[in-house]
Amino acid sequence: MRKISTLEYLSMSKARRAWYKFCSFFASIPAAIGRWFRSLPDKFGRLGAKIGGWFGGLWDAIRYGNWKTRLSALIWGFGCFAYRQIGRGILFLAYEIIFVLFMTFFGAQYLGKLDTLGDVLQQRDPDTDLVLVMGDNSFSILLYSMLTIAVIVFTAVVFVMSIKNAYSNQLGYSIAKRAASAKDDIGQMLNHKFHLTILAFPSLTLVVFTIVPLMFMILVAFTNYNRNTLPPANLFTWVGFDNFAAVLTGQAKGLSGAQNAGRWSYTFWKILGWTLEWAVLATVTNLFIGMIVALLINKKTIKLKKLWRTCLVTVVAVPQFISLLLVSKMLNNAGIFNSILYNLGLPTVDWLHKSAPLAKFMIVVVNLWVGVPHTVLTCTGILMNIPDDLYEAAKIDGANPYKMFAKITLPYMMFVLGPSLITTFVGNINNFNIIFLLTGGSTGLADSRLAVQAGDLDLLITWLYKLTVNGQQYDIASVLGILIFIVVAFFSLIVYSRIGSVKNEEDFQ
Amino acid sequence: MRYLKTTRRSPKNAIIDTFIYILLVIISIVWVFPFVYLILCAFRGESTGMVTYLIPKQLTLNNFIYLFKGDFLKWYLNTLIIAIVVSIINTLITLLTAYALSRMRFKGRQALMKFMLILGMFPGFLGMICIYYLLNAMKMIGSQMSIVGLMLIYISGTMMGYYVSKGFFDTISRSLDEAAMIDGASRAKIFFSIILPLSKPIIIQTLLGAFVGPWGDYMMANYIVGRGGTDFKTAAIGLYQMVDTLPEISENFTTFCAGGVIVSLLPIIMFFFMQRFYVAGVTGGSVKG
Repeated sequence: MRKISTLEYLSMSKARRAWYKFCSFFASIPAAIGRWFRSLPDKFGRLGAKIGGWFGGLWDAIRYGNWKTRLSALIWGFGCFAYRQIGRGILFLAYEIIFVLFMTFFGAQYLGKLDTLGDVLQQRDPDTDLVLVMGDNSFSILLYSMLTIAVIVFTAVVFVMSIKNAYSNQLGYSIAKRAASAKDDIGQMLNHKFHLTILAFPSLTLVVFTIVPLMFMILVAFTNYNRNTLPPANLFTWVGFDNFAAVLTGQAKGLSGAQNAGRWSYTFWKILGWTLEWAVLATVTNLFIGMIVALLINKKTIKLKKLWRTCLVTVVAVPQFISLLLVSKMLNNAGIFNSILYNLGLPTVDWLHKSAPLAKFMIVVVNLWVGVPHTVLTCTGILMNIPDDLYEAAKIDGANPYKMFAKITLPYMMFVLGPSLITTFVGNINNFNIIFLLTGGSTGLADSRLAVQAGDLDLLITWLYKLTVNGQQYDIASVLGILIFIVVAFFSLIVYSRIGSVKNEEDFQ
Repeated sequence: MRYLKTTRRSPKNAIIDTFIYILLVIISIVWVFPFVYLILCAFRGESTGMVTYLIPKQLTLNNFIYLFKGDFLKWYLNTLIIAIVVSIINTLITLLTAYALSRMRFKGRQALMKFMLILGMFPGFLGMICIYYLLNAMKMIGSQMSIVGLMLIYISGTMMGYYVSKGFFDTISRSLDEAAMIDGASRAKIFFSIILPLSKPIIIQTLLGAFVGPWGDYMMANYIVGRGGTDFKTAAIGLYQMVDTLPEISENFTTFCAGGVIVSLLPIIMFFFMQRFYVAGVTGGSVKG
């Protein structure tokens, strides 16, 4: 896009200025993304420097520490016992013993097989179906390896902490002749280190039930784990980028479902298109209609505000699986809407099964029904927050209601709603409920080119769900998950790089 | 007096207002109609399937009786227990995380926030296969313990939802903390005796959100308890399976509606009592952007 000078910009009409701003926002996106990628090495460099600096303390401790400090690298907590920090010492030592036991009896056997994901196939007696050779379980190997790696990373941190602790004891002892006692520690955990206390339990659940499973599934995308290779009867193994090739380009060689590769990619691009189309439509319609309804309800002269709001909020309160299932039954061929049409002598329509465009239109309409109340609630809050003196000042200056709306209300609302738009957009990309509960992801019209489990109304997330629950195509499902992440990250990146309020959080306080 | 005159409503404004009232009535009807239909179906006596008219010919409680003769009470209690436990624990986790990230400055804070932002971009369902296996290894699938497993799943990602609460805490003046600290209060004491009493709207909003989430969840619950015994289902799974396939619609539709009414009752009551806080809470967090 051509850059224009300030003078040229000022000489444009208002509409053209707005259009110019709109265009330049999108035109600058590639450059912004390029900048972000160019800054990556720098970012990693800084991250490396931080971690390096942290371990650098370790080097100091080894180099300048006395024999007590050095010995505590071997026997953790020795540096604590030596300076009468019994509580800490026991914790460190106990952790070391548990870690060693964990690695010898549990971690090592899995970690050792990570490169092939197991090579001993399970054998059964063909007559009695009894298991003769247990064989390797690729799933356990991969999963428990991830768990072990998480434990090792955590152990490295504890290890450095233990030596640094010993070293600081040594330094502190020479000055104060006393190291922090257990009582001090507990006091610290409620005061300056309160964050450690309160983040410990959530972090643990986050690691075990979110991070480890995610790492596992990301790695599954590089294996051939699907219904043909289900452990423990079968083994699965690494296949590199074959799954990605199958989904993105339709070419794959070593894959068990290789003959389906063309279908995978056809389905993926089709579903991706509809997902983005849906997310844009749903976000934009929701925002505009929600804003209009909120403005209507909150108009100064309108009475019974609470009643109108209550009518809308009912939809927010009723669980979606009820309201959406109900609406899907109402839109059914024999549902109440068609009955009403029939009784009025009008032709009936099979809303969700006649054709894909009609079904998509209905989905967007039903989404309005579900989503507008949320927007109205948020907008109501914002409208109540706009200071009245702004309007009074405008009135004194002779502004008409239209002008006040365009110059005060709208900018204020967009300022607050703008950042939340991306959250809504991302939420819509992953909007499982509305598609799955309303339509099941398909109009029922056959499209023979679609891959198994996919319907013509599926979003990426519902396709992923079906592939996992019904299809057991875990390898392709994992690839989809990673691709969803990339799509979401792409859009978030655009917005986060352009919104100052995210960066300068300290400015607000 | 001349000023007063100008503020009086002109006929033009009256017409606009009437127009808006008509529009609002239409909107309200559109939004409430499905629920009226739900209630009418729940009390309909003559047919258990779909019918071609709106107003039922006979009213009855049979649908509710039939519902409770089945396993619905178990499902309802399962859901209730899960939702209550999860909402309490999740609210605690969310508020504490938000407090730590809003008020305390520690090493790795920025990194933690960025990390959680990135983590949140992965679809939550992706890890389910693995979680299923983990829960299975802990003997939490296909038994009463699957309820506990489901709770663990709902609790696990909570930490990442700290944004709104953090935005709220950011608006509470820091000089309060400093004054308390000078008086010798610890961080823990500040949180429980100063910040929490000031945060009623956000507490209620978080509680409500954390309650409604598990209460209406289908996606996760179906994977964990959907295929197991009927005793361990949640209300969402049980009711969905009632109207899942075509022959079942004609047999169970009114029963489903009755179940829908009962399941909706609790969240609706909660919303109506807490609506005041809800609106305030939404603003408190979102003004920060």
